[in-house]
Amino acid sequence: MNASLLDLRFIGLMALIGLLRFLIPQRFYVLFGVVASGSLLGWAAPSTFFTITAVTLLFIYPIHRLMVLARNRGASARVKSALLALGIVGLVALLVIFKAYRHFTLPWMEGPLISQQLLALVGFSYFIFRAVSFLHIQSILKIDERNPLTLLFYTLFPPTISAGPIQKFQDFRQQVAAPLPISSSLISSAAYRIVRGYFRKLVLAYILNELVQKLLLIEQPLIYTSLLTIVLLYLYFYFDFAGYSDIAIGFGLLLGIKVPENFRKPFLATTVSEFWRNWHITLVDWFRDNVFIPLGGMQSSRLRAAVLACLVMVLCGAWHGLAVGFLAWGAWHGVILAIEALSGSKPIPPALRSGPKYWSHVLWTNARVAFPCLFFLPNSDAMLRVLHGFLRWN
Amino acid sequence: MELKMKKYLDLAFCYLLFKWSLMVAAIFWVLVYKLSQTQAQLPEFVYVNF
Repeated sequence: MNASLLDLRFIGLMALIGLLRFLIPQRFYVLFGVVASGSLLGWAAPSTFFTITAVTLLFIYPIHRLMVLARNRGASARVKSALLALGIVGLVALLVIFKAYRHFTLPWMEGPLISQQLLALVGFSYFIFRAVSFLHIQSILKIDERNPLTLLFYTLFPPTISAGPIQKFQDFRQQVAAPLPISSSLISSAAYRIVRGYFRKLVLAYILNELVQKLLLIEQPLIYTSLLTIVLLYLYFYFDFAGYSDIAIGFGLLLGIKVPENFRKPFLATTVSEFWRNWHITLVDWFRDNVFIPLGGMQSSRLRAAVLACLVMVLCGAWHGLAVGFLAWGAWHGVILAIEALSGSKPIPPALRSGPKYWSHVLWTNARVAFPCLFFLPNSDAMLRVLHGFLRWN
Repeated sequence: MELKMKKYLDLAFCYLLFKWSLMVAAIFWVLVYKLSQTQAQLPEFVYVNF
């Protein structure tokens, strides 16, 4: 069994947990959630379960308690900042090891420095996002979480473990105190999101993937073939990830937690900034709350905001993978966001969203977002072939 | 008024039934027919690899 939303046994057991939780009294919900999530993940992905549990209980929770202690005893701001920095640097170091040293070897060593098995963790970077968000937000909102099981349930929550959506701790904590009660509308909403998610992934994304694979086999593509490849690739990414998010939200509802939305009609955006407020929303929010705002992005000059927006997108590209393509993708979006920030470009107001002017903005935004999807192609030969296609009319 | 409401509900119900049937049938088609015929593997969600 794999900890994947495509593994029938995993999703079957998750649905069973969702149904069993209705038999559990509310005061035991967190304990039940931790035991059930731990058993499920411990079976499906033992190394992921042990790593996340160890980091949560032996690193994040102690740092949090130390920060609460420092706060209660009136420690200086420097001590509090040092503790927060220790926690965040430790977590980011883990993420860098996970991302950068996956295949790291030294000449005098026979194999990788860190075993492949340990680095093949499910959704580890999303766990780090949740953990950093928790440490940062608890220092701002002065959260005092005494129960380590609530924190463990937050980091192990099975529907969102592999790829989000990244829920904020304060939102999760509020919901575990009063999980959604059973009702026919809850079951039907959950079922609808799950079926729609699988429809998007198993039917739409599957067909789009097949078409893209066929188009990429063309040795000398023409301009319209290249355009079609990019459009289909763009749609493929949307249906794949929006499908995943639907399934995670559906199973979240079954488990009594309303997981935040990840997509909000991104194709209707009229600027790239607006697009990023509606595509992979929880990741963009994470970068805004934990990188952009702490670096002074909201209260600074337009120029500084533009540079920071560019930096955030390059970081976001680097997170996808330390490869030239991903960095180029990040830089592309970063430059566009910087230009929009400098020029003060604003989305078209809702009242004026009709007519040729509106649709031309929508088309132009989508064209700028769709084009760099090419950088996600697994090999550069395919990417170059598609690019050459733009120079061939017939 | 009641008749109008009933008609509206019937239409809404038919649309819902159509949408569900279409989604379930299409999922069934890919899983049972398409994937078993070609012995193709279903690719994992893109973002799981990040």
